[in-house]
Amino acid sequence: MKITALVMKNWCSFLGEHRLDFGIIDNPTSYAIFGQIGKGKSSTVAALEWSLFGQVMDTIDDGDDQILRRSRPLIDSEFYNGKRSSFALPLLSDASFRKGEYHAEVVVEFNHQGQNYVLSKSAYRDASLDGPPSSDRDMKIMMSLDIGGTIIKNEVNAVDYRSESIVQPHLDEIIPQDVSRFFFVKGDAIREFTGLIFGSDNNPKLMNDVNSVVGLPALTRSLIDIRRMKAQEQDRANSIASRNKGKSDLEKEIIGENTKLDSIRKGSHTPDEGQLPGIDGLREMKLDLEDSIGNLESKLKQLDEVKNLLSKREAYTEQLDSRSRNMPAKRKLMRESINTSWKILIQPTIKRKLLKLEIDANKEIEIVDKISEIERFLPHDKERISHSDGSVPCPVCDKKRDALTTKKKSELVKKISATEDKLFDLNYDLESVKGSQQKKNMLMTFRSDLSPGSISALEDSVTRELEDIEELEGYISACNDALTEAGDIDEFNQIKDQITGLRNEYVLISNDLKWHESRELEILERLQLLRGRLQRRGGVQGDELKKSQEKIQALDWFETIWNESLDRYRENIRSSIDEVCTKMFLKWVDSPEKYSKIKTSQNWGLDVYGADNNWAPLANPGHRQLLSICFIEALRHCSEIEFPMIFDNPGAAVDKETIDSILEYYFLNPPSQFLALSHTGAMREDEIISKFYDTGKLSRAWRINFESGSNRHSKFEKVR
Amino acid sequence: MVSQPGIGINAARVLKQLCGTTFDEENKPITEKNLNCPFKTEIQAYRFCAMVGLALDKRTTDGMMQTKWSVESIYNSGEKHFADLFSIAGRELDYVDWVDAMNRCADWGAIYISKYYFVAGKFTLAPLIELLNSDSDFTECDKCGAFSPSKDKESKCWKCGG
Repeated sequence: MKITALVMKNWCSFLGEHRLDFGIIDNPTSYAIFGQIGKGKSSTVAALEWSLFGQVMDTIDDGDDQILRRSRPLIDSEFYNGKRSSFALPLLSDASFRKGEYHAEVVVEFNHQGQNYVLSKSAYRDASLDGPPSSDRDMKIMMSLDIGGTIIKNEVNAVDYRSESIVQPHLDEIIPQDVSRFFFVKGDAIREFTGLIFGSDNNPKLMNDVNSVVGLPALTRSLIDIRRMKAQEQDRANSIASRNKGKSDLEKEIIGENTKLDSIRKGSHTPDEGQLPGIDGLREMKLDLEDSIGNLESKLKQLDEVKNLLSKREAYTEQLDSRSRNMPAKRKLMRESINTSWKILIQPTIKRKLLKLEIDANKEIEIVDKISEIERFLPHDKERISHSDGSVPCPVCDKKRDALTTKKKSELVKKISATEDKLFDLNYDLESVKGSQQKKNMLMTFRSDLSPGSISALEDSVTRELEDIEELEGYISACNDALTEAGDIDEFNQIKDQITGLRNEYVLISNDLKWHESRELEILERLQLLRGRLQRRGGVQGDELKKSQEKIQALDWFETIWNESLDRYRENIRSSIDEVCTKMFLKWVDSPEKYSKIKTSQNWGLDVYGADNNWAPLANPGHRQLLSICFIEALRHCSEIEFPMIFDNPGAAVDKETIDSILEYYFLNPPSQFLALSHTGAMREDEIISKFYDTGKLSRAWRINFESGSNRHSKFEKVR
Repeated sequence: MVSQPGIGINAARVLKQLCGTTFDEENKPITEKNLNCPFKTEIQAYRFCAMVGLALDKRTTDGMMQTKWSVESIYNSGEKHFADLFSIAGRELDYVDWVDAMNRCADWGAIYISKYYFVAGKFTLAPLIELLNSDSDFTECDKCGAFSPSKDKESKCWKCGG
């Protein structure tokens, strides 16, 4: 990987947008960035770290010889508001935050294995938030990676975003974060490596990272893979062996199915039912029956007339049966109707009688009134006659009546006689009409509204039906007569019965045959299945098991070889690292005659040996830092990871002469890309320029200064 | 059966025929029944015949004393209301006993039905029911004795055309 450009916006002390162009890099190239302490050198390195690995670690010595590592946040409102905060300072420019621009961005353009990439990573305030962000939880990150024109991107939360990002996995493939630290050789962070010098295992993560750089995890993973493959193959071999065991069972089952098939095809003999036909026998029987039925049918044809008559008779009989079946219900309905018709019969009589009774009832009232009137005055008249002179009180006004003369008395006697005759007649008439109203009421209970029409229809229907039945009976009788004349009905019936019998037998045999055939099919399918299984177990099983066992042997051998190779590789890489480390240490240390070699332990502890080949304590802090740098260089040299080597003011405890010598080494023998950042105390601009830039060893160099009129906003100035 | 004045022997035979009994040439009942007869029980046939006589205001006039229907046999058949019917609409002036009135009407009715509505061993009663239900008066044919509706003087007997 080679970085071709770096753009930072509102990043640490860089307010606004700032760009570093590294130009087109074909060969190993060196760069230098000069600047006083606090101008923004480490911020430039932090921009690379944040964009590529997602976090920027800051380290301090806690005063107890312990290194504290902490991730730098994007936002820290405490810090921006001038309050005491963590030593790990926020990455968004404080000036930008105060201006209300909560947006920082880093763009890295790089080339990796011939492919151009543009990585853009910007942090901004969550759109749902109104006020200023107070921490990274209020921030979002948009990551995009342009891979030769194909862009992948997504927005993620600023906190723990690595798992959500779809870009990060691509970057991790190019440069894993675990090994990145060996290429960012930064200031006091170098002290972390000094822990290794005494073979301490206090920092297992560091040891793992060293292992990662030299490729040991990948190789160990391969060993695990080999073991897994071997276990899988062993399982497979066991399974094949188990299948072999079932082979004999399968063979027995096939023999059994074949016996069944034989019995289905050729028939069988049972003690209860005797000889039972098989498919072959049934087919023969079916053919015989077909022949017999055919012969009989051709005989029957010769008796066509009889056949026609019989079929006619059959049809008439069917019709007759059908009609006769309906008759009881019709008869019942008709009877019920006629049975209720007695009321209908006498309706006109009832009606006439009611009319007469109406008249009689009125007459009765009239007669009763007349009788009542007569009976009111007749006793008075009789009393006057019987009185001496007829002067009796009037029954109406109670006044005494005048005395009767002889003439008047004679007239009154005549009147009484006539009235009594009339009363007799009235009573006689009353007798004939007495109780008419009561009789009328009784008769009313016999009134009915039933209609006779339905009875007529029903009777007609029954009559028609009876006529039809009679007609059909006539036809049947005629058919019978004709059949008697037509010839041998008995023979015809006999043949017909024979055909019916044979057809029934034919149906039974056909069904039996069908069952046998379906059973045969079932057995054949089962046999096919069993033979297939047997073939799979038997036909190839020997080879398969043999192959599997051979594979296990091969994997076993491979595992042994791999183990040995891994040990050898580990020893070789350690030996190479020891060699490079020793060479660099002896090259850069101020008194190389005191030391003979550097040796790494199993846990990547570093042991220094004196000139007498005995272990020598490395008490000088400068020497320890130098040894760390040597170890880093040895790792970089021995690993095949291609990544820019970034030297950010390393080895504060190392004397200037040694630093000069380290820088000279890298400027003259740069890895694929080398970027040195140093303050003027450790790397003097004029010296470096004249020594390396003028001689073509340094490609480009920049100086970081504050913007004019500002004492906190950094900017890059190109040197030459 | 109670022995008292009732319907005659011929009418009793008709009642049996109306319920499906058939007779041979010697007038003896034969086993085979006419399934297409109009009534199921004799009391139903008896009641129907009585109503025919009543409707046409006809009765047996000659003194016939064959046994058949008594007060008890009619009452036991659930036909109690005929006492009222016959005492009011029947022959209350000629016969004080309504059972006697009913017997004589039934006797007459049965004979009338057998004469005019029994053809070829089969009863056809619907035309009789329709006739008796019509609003018009009836005319008795002088020649054959059949009743027809008396629509006008020109109308002819339905039976004999007279």
